[in-house]
Amino acid sequence: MSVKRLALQGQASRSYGNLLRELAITEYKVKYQGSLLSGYVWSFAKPLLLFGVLYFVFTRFVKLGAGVPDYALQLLLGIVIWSYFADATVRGMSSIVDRGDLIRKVYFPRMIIVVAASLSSLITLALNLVVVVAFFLFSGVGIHLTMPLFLLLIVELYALTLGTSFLLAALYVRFRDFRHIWELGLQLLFYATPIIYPLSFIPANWQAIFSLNPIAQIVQDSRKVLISSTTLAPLDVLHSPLVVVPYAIPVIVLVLGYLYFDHAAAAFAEEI
Amino acid sequence: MSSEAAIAIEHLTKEFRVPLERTTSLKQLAQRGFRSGGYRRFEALHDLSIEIQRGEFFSVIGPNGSGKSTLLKIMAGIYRVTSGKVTVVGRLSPFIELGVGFNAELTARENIFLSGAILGLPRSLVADRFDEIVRFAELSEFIDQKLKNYSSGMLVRLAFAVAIQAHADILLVDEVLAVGDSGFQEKCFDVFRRFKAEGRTIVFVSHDMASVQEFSDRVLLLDRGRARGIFSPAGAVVEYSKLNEEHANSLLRDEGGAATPGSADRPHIASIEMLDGEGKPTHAIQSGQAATVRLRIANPQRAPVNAGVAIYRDDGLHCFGTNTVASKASIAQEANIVLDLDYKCVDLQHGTYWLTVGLFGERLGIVHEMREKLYSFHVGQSEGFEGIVYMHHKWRSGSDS
Repeated sequence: MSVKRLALQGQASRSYGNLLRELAITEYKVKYQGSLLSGYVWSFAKPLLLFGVLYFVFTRFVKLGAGVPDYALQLLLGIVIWSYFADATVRGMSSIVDRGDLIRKVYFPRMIIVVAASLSSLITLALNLVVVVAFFLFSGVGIHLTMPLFLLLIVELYALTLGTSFLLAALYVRFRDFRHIWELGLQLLFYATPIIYPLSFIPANWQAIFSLNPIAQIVQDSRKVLISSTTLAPLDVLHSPLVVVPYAIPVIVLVLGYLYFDHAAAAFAEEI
Repeated sequence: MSSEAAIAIEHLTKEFRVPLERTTSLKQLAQRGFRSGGYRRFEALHDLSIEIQRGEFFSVIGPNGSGKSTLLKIMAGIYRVTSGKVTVVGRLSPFIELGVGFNAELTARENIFLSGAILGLPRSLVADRFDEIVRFAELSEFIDQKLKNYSSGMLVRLAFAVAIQAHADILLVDEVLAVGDSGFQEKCFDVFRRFKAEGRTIVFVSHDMASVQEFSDRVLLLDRGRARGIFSPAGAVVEYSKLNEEHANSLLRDEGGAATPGSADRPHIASIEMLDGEGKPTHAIQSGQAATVRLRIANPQRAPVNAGVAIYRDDGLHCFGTNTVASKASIAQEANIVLDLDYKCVDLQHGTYWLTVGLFGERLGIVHEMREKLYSFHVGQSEGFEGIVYMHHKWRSGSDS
């Protein structure tokens, strides 16, 4: 049984693109609303501070980065990619519940809210990448022909983030535990990903297992195409057919996440 | 469904499953073992069939909890139906309440664009109509202020000004005119008249019987999820009052029967009705007519009792109150009392009114029972007079020498 809608002929479909845009911009604006410095400054502050602390600790006290070429740049790139994933999935998860007022009172495709949240995090990622570029210019790393491949990795990162957000957003409507579960999961994932330490520090037989993680793959591949071709990327570590796994996971997560979200969305208005 | 229908609803039933213990944690879910169960079913709408014609102003009224808003949300596609069929022909406005999605941290200017987007309008269209929206809302000086500094009246004006831009053949409107001064309300009514003239379909949910009466073509009266019937505006007002009386009296009956020992001994109201000049029960009287409020009071202990009756307009304005202490009237100390309050002429203007009734001891400080909004009645339209009351008056003229 259903609610049928027969649109009259000649009518343009509702402009959902505008809604998506407005929601994404609003979210970005409101995030830093009422703060002393402009939102753009704070967008940089968090990953930069994390970078500063980690860099200081791991080059001065724990000589983890000592033998690694361009450790600072590698670390910064890893943190920027990680921050986007962590930030966007946390915000994506609560996006539906946070916009309960809209969901209960207006009809529009629910996925717009999750996509808007992920896009507003993408603005932050873009700004952070500007900082990375600045570091690049100072560090004297040369231009590589592989650099354009980084854009493909960003697409992969976005797919993984959006898929995870779909899944978490729908689950979070039903089970508020996921806030805590995902916090733990992120912490675990942070240390399971070669962000602070280089993958080469891990015993050889563990490297393959670590490389199955798509975040690790994105971080390592990004370092390889942007900074140093000697970085251990999954292609170097994994043997076929396992090498497909980290690249397939984002696609699978996106498809499953979307399907589950779409299935659950019809009941959101009643469940929030 | 006929070819002229804008919305056709056939045998619509909507059931909410209210979890007895809401499962929001995985631990509870694990303990229950993913079985569904522990639900209480609550039927918000039962076997409802209506057809709203294109170009019609269709109102939905009913007491709180009767399913009005649920019906509107199903039409809008926000809620799923449990069974039955809803067919919507044409483009529907997606908003149910005004000001949905407003963000207090943003300026009015930003909110106009945000709100327009929520209504599904392209940005260019909102930009084109921006000045018109601001002028209608009468907020040009405050347009760059943050919304958190707005009064509720300003918010409604802004919300309404944006909402009427919605490109829709069918508008769903829920309780819009509760706030706003009378001047702005008149502007809103002008918009409704224009929409009607343009042949747009409007589904209107309201408690404000005056506007329901003024604009509606037909009125659906809902009572606990069931259609009580579809009436003419004048008929609906009377039916609504009857329904309120039934509810009030069934409440009185239930509580009278189920009262705990001790409290049952205290004086309590057993029933209430309003009679017209000829002694017939009524819910609709003409301004200036006589009317009687008849209370039946159970007083098993034959305790000293005083009573008060207050008349409120449905927007909460206290119009008139009287009590037996102030009127120096005495009440017979019987076990079952009939108490009549005769109004010589009800000089109230057009509108819906409620009676609030209280029972007291020897002093007004001793409250036995206080019943708010126990009974409603309607005063019909009077020709040309305005305001709250009818002042008995006459005009005289002569030459000014």
